[in-house]
Amino acid sequence: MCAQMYYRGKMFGFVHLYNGQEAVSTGFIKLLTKSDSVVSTYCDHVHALSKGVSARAVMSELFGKVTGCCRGQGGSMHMFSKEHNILGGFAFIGEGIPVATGAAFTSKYKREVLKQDCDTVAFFGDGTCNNGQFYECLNMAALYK
Amino acid sequence: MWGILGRRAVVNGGISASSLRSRVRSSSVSARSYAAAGSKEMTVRDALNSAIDEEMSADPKVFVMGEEVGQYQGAYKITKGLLEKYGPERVYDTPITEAGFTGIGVGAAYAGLKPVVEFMTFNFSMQAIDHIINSAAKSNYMSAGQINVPIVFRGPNGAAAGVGAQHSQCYAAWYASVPGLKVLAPYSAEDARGLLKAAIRDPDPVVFLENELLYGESFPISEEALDSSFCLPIGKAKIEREGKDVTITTFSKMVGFALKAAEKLAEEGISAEVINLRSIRPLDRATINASVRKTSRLVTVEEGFPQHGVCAEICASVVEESFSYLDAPVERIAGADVPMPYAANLERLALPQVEDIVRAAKRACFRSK
Repeated sequence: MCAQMYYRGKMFGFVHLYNGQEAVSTGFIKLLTKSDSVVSTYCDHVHALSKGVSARAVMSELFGKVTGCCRGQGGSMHMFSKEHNILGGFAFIGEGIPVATGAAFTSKYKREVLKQDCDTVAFFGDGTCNNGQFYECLNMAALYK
Repeated sequence: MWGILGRRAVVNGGISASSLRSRVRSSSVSARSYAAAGSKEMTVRDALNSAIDEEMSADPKVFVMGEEVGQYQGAYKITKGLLEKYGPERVYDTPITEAGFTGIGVGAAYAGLKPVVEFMTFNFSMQAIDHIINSAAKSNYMSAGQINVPIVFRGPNGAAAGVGAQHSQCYAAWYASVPGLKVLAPYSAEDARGLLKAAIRDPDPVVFLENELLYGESFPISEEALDSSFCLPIGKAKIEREGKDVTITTFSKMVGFALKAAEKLAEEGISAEVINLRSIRPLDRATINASVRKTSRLVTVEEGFPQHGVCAEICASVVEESFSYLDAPVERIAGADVPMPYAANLERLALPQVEDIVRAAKRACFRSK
């Protein structure tokens, strides 16, 4: 449906579909609680839906409406929700990995320094594993665990 | 003289003379308190260190991250003693992976912490600029205000001494052009303390541009500035020296040069007003324009490359808002339009010197060609 709207010019800019891959993220996100965080890529519509953002809010955002989850200011690639702990859709390949690592780092910091608790999941594709930032974050995650 | 200004202001629909008077009066009060407390001195390095220390002590969500900030006590010793005092859970030595640790800092800020990320120099921030701009600066807008990013990116900026082209660039103009970022550039120890504390407390991403050559310089510091609750407002410039013939605006190390230039100009009967910008974004256009409306002449100085620089923005602002008050073309003194050379004599030629500022001010006052 999104693809049809895009081809008819009702949706504009970039629209990246997640068709056929929904099972992977849905499985993971089912195991998370509301306070756990998800960081995504530009294929973030399904992640937002799975985490609990209403279908109406996601669709409105795709059409650039003020009723969208980011008031039409983020768009297809930048879905954020503070309530559901979606820390963004990111456009650049690998951009979300360090941000997710930072959110996970915060869980550890909160546990050790502030004595509070929570988890983070980052989604990205296999091509992203070519990206330098991915390895930098693997290294630092092991270093600071 | 105030009468003439008052009439001119009314005729041109500009700022009232009384508001100009009160602005000048308040800046002379601050100049008095600066000099009056002159008995204590502090280096910029100690000012920065004490600011980070006090903010970490006041708020357990503040932590420090960067290369050599912990065990080595900081590449320039700005974070000296912090690892011993707060432990490895709050002072993180990172591998040499700017993109990675900057992104981690931003992610931590999204999730509610207050990172102070150090770049060994801002030249290395280019490896992480995607996170500074796309992940930090733009997120508050893209999320329609849901995500706040209370992060500070700090480190030395601009030329040092003989460090060559890839270690000498000034990033003020680049970062100040981005909506969503705040960009600060301290000069004195008081600036360093007040602005860094304000930056750490600020809910938005702040780029804090220090200067390596200023770290060891001592400045008089008031009792008020030494208090742990001391904070300077972001977006407000400081009039370092009052004058009536020409306005010189600048930031960071060039403030010292501008003050020396003002001394030389005073010997020749030209009274220069020196404005220390302190905040590059938001830029204090009101103070700059009020000063130019008083002096009618502008000389704007920076170390960075000339094209699309901070000086260019100030000239545009003055031409847009105070055109009818100008008695001379606006003068812009910037670094040379060339990658920074290594040889000491060439480096000196590539950066603004006191003589260049004096010459430009005299040109604006029609005392030379």
